[in-house]
Amino acid sequence: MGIQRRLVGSYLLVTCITVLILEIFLLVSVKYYYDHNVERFLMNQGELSASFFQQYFADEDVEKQSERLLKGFAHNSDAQVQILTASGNLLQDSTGLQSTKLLIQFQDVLTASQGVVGRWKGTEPVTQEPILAVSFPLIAKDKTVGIVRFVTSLTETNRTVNQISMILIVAGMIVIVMVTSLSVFLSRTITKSIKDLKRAADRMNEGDFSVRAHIRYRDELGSLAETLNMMASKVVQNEKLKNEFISSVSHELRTPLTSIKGWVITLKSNGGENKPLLLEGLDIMESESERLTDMVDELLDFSKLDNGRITLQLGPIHVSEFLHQIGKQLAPRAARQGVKFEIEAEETLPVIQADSNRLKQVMLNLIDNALKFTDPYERILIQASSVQGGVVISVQDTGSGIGEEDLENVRNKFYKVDKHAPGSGLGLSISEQIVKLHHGELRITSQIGVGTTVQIFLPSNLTIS
Amino acid sequence: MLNRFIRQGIMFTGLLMIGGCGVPSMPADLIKPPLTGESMQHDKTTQELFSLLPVEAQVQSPIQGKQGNDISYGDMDGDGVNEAVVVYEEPGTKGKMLKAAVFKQHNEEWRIISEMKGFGYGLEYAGFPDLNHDGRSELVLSWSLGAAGNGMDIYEWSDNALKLLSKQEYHGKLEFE
Repeated sequence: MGIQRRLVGSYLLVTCITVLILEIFLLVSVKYYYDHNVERFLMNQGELSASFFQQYFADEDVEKQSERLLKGFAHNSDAQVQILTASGNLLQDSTGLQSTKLLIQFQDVLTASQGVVGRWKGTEPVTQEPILAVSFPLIAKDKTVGIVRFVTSLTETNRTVNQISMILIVAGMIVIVMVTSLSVFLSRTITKSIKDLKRAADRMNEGDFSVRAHIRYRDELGSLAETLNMMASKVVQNEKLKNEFISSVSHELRTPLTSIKGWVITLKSNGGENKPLLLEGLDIMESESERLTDMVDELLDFSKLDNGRITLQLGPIHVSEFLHQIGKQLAPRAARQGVKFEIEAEETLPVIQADSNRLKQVMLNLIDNALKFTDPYERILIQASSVQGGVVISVQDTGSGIGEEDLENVRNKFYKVDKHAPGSGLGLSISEQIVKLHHGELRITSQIGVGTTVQIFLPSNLTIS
Repeated sequence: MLNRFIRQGIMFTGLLMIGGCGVPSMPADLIKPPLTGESMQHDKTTQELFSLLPVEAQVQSPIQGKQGNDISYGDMDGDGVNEAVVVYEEPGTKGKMLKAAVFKQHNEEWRIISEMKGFGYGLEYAGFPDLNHDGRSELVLSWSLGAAGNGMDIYEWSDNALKLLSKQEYHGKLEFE
């Protein structure tokens, strides 16, 4: 069942229950109001007549003055008024009919003949008309000498009550119809957003990520649509990155291969005779193969890190010693590029637990990046200092710096600031993964034209389960 | 959603207005004469007497007698100061009730000294005729039951209280000798 049908259905249910409760209450009230008031009117009339008789007319015989009494009792009453003897024989009837019926069979007359006010509601035996009758005893000197009886037909009352009931029921139905049509309209504001979302999600499922969900209102569904749209644009962006990566890696792999193939052809044609050429060729082929191997290793590393299949070989590391070792390794390259390369590390740094090979990989990568973007006569500074709970190693250069927009993406895999620069774009991403495996943190701050600082925090008491 | 609350609110308020507490009055019970400028400008004594009656009281004019003559005066105790009687109708638990209030003046101040229950459809006569010619007036209240006849109550003043002398029926017009 669709959401709209469910919504309208529940609106309808609530409305129906509300209207039903109100209707029942109103119908009962109306019925009570009419019945009670008709009865009260007869009772008043009866009480007034009976008490006046008791006060002033009690001396004379009821039968003798019955005609006169009837005129008084029926003075302002539209009901049928009857005067009876104490035993229930009819003396006078305001309708003028001389009934021979035994009135004592009626419950109210029977009660009144015993000196108590009687009331009876039922069906007239002959005409089958619903009637209400009240009988009052006429008392003279503490003795019941007669009965005055007021009888009214309830046909009109019932008809009026039915008429009002019909009006109420029709009004209730109109209300239900109005509320239902309104609820159809209202539920559309919700279902429209959901339908839009579903259509967009379906299209995305089919592979069309250019579609965007329409945001109608700033509500939960609106933010859901926004999230969906954002997801779609990320998928598109990732797709683009993947394609760029494949083309750049292919290019990277191809360059050493081309070089090797070129030398193989050269050596094949005339390498046999020329010993120095052969040696030079083999040297180049060796270094090119190493480049290839490095690159493939990097890719493998990345794939392992991404799948979480890498494990650290932890061991104690003296940070200062460790950094100076790396410095020695890279000093010749820095000297060749004319870049000042300095290491500042306190001897008192704590010993940390880390995988030395992996950490070395991180440091080489960071310093390699710094060397790539730093011009001659500029400076690269490696610093290490002790902080609460661990050690911070920073690599600071006064190179070209990174723009704000690129800074956000630079850690992402495959991302390269310059798309045509050599490299896979994986270096920084791998470094960050390794630092994270050490439960550490990698932070980059940079400003164009001023330089870049990369800080690595490594905790001193690392235990990996 | 909103429209349902509004609808319920209107119905509930309507019910309260119609229903109130207890059973609402019959339309026939609600018919009352409006206030007139004349009735507002009663003299001081009338205002004083009426202010002593219950709030919902409706003063009844006798059928016999002059129109607007709601208050009758007469000296019942023979002290030279007139007493007064006012008949009124009061809504009770079982419909309307007829009542008569007798006022006496003490040091320029009126007070109700007695209240009597009335019968029938309405007041026929209320007054202070001297029936036994002893120099002191008796109180006569006459109630009507339409064509069936009337009932007359006669009270006299004795031992500092109203005493019922007789209760009798009569037909036609009341005549005093």
